[in-house]
Amino acid sequence: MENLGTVDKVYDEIDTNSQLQVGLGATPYRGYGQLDFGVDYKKSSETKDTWDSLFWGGQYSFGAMRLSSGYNTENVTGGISFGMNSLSVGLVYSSTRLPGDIGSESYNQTVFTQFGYKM
Amino acid sequence: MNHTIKLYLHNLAIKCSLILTLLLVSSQSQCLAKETLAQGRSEKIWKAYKKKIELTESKEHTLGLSYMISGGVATLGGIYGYYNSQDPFARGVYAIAQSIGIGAIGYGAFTYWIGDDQRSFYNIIENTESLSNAQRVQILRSYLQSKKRQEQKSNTIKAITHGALAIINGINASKESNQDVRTVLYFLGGINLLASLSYTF
Repeated sequence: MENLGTVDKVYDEIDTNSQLQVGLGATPYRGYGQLDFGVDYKKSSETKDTWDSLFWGGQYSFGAMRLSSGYNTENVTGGISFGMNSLSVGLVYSSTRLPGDIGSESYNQTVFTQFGYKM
Repeated sequence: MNHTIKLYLHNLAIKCSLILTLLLVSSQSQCLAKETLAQGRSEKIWKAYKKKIELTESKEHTLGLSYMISGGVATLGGIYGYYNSQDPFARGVYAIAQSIGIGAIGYGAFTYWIGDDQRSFYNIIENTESLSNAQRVQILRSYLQSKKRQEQKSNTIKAITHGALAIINGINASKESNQDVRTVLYFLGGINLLASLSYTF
């Protein structure tokens, strides 16, 4: 379950209702690197049908490198990142469908660099 | 009559010495059997350990190679990105990618050619020809016990350190007036508490 507990501030734009979230993952290959697949089911007030609630993901880890990709009816992502010890950096591509008139589809496509520090 | 007694005593002495010899031989062969069994067991244990080390070495070769190749990709990608990007943040990220890449190559080379301390320990013991397998197993037992004790101590130190961090973050959070800072401090306290618990059990 997501969003369990108390809310200190309420914003109209942010949905703070409790949401069910279930995930399933598998590692079909482990040898020269590791291949992982996973799917998350996350029901929120914005999702219309079951397919919208499914988030598919895959990752191939090879030494310090991670190749990852994700798919949802609203969003597609793909990225490469490198990490050693606590530091990680990466390059991520993301394409998100923007809400608009029915029939006309527009996407927000972004490529961004990321920096991470693991505590 | 005297001759008959002498003959009887002589026969008795021969019988006794035969029984004694048989007992001695039996006891000696029992000892030998026990020794052979112990030697066989030691050889089995040492062979199993040798197999385990060879498997670890093969895994370390794969891992080391993976880190060296991915480190090379990160370094080359970082250099290309750094000289083809105008954005200061992106350039910083590419510079870190280069450092990570070189670090990964070094780590990979270390893992491939040197590996962990168990590999060094095995090589030292295996290459000391004067040692019997029983002696090797005895040293191995002592080494593994010492390693276990070291690990237990290390876990205790980590549990105490994270526990202290959880307490200090919790105290700071309870006295903090700013709501956002308090949330962050409670979050840090919670993470450290979880880390401490993971090292305790």
